[in-house]
Parts: sequence; structure tokens; C-alpha cells
Amino acid sequence: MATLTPDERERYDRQIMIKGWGEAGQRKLKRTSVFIAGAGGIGSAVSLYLAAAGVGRIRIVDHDKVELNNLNRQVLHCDEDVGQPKVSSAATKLRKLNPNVKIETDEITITETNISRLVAGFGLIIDALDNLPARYLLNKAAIEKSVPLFHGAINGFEGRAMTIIPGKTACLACVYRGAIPEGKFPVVGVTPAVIGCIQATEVIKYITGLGELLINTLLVYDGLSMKFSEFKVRKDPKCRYCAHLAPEGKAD
Amino acid sequence: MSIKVNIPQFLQGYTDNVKTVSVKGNTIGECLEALVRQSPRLKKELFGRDGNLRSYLTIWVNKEGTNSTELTVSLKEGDELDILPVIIGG
Repeated sequence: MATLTPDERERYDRQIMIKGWGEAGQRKLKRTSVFIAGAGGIGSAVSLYLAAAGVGRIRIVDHDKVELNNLNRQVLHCDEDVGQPKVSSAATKLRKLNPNVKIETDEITITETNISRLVAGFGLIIDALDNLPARYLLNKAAIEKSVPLFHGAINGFEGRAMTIIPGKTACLACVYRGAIPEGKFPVVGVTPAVIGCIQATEVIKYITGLGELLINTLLVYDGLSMKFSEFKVRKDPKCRYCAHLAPEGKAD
Repeated sequence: MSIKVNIPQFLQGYTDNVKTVSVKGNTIGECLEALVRQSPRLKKELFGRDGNLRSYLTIWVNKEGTNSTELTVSLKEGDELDILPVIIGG
């Protein structure tokens, strides 16, 4: 059982005050390892808030270098970081934000052959990616290792979020069936901030056991009309990834 | 029967920025065809050359997934359709 230092008790005082959280909840966060796929817009928001909240170990994976046109939304990175690996820039900021958190990085492209090794040993996987094929790899790995996956995606003023508990809920492939042409997508920085914070909220709730999760539910955010809509997702009995797992409602 | 179709942001340019359209049809396919009759420019956005729904679109009935790529799913009076595109950005 991880213990809290006096510094940590003070740092996390306001959240430890939350009903049902307490020092026990904080210790749960401290002993959790989170894998974040992507250090872009969503990855910025989700990693900053999870580091601030005191998740014990965060590994952030991204193969890109910081470009000037990233800086409207990827708030982990600053002007002086242009040209640097995103994961290096991210690690510097996250360590400054909270030196209690063990920050690990991997400047690598997620592939079919390395995904299983990359996520090994992590209790939670966060989707902060920018393409669908790699999301399906995360989805597959999460199911194989029976690890929760926290999905997020954005475009322009729109966003989506969903929490996947393998064996108990619908997975990403129960929602999405096809490929979409890759390419440059429009986005304003506040959109990945909203979605990344929703994912971070889901992670914190999952770890502490508080509240209800976005399971079997695709949350759709429309920033222009400022509406959130919930879409009920059914576990697909023919899903190519999760159909072999226990039927919905019959898992432990 | 009358079905309400919610048009997603990225397609509203093809419906003169109208967000919700009422159409008549007994199945998802009939409703989408009726929608295309009202806004013909939507056709190539919704359907591929093979006539199938584009793979990156998902259709929801009363905010529930259909787990089906079939356009033959039956609808009832007052049902509401949503067309959601897959979005990929992060």
C-alpha cells in the first residue's frame, strides 16, 4: 500500500476532502500506472490533470516532434519546444507540475507488433491518438490484457468520449465499423481540453470508485451549440474484437 | 411515417445549415433516401459509389446504436435518427 508523504497530503488536500475520496482514494491514485497514447491536444489535457491529481506513474507515448501549428491546442508544449520530441517536452512540463509522479516516455510509433509490449504492466490505457487504425490497436490490446480503455476523439468544435471495460462493456469496434481517410483535421484547442478533461475525470472515478462511468455510452460534445448528448452503445455480438468475451451483464 | 433526422455539424452545409429535418420512411434506408431527395448534395456524403452507407458514418435510432450496417432496420412513428461521423482527431 502506497503511503502519502506530508507534502502529498498538503498538495492533494482539496481533493482528499471530496466525500468518498479521502487518503485511501489518494493512495489508490498513487499506486496506479497509466499509459497515455498520444501527446497532442487530448494527451496534453489528460496528462496534465492526471499528473496534478497524483496518479503514481504515467507513461506517455508519441512519435512526433513539436510543430508550430500544434501550439494552438497542445498546451504541454511551448514555443521553445518546436522541433523537440513531444514526449520530451511533455515529460519536462509534467515533472515540473508534479515531481511526485513517475513520468516515463517512449518516442515510438504504436504498431501491431509493439502494442502488447508497450502497454504491458499498465493498469489503464488512455486513447489520445489522432488516427483510427492505432485506436483499434489500443482497443485490441486493452481487450487482450483486460485493461480499461478511455476513448476520446475530437474534430473542430466536436468531441467524443467513452469508457471501455473489457468483458463488461461495448468496445470501440462495437461503435465504429469502418476506416476514415487520414489527414489534417480542423480543431480549436478548447475541444481536446474538454474531451481530455472528461477522460481524466473518468480515470479518476475509475481509480477511486466514485460516481458512474461512461460505459456503454458514447458522450458526444458539440461545442458550437454547447450540448452534450449521450448515445447508448450496444455490445455487438458480432464484434471482431470483443464478441468472444462474456455477454453484457454476465461478466463478473 | 414521419421521422426526425438530426444532421451532424459536418453535413449541415449540405442542408442550408438546417440542423434537423423531418422525412417520411419506414426504414433507415428509406429515410436517408428521403433526406437525399430534400438535399441532393448529401448523396455523395452519405453513400459510396457502391450505394452503401459510407463506412465512417454510424446511424443511431433514438440515441441508441443499431449494431447494424443494414439500412433495412425498421422504424416507427416519432423515431429520431442521428447520423454520427467517426472523428479521429486527438
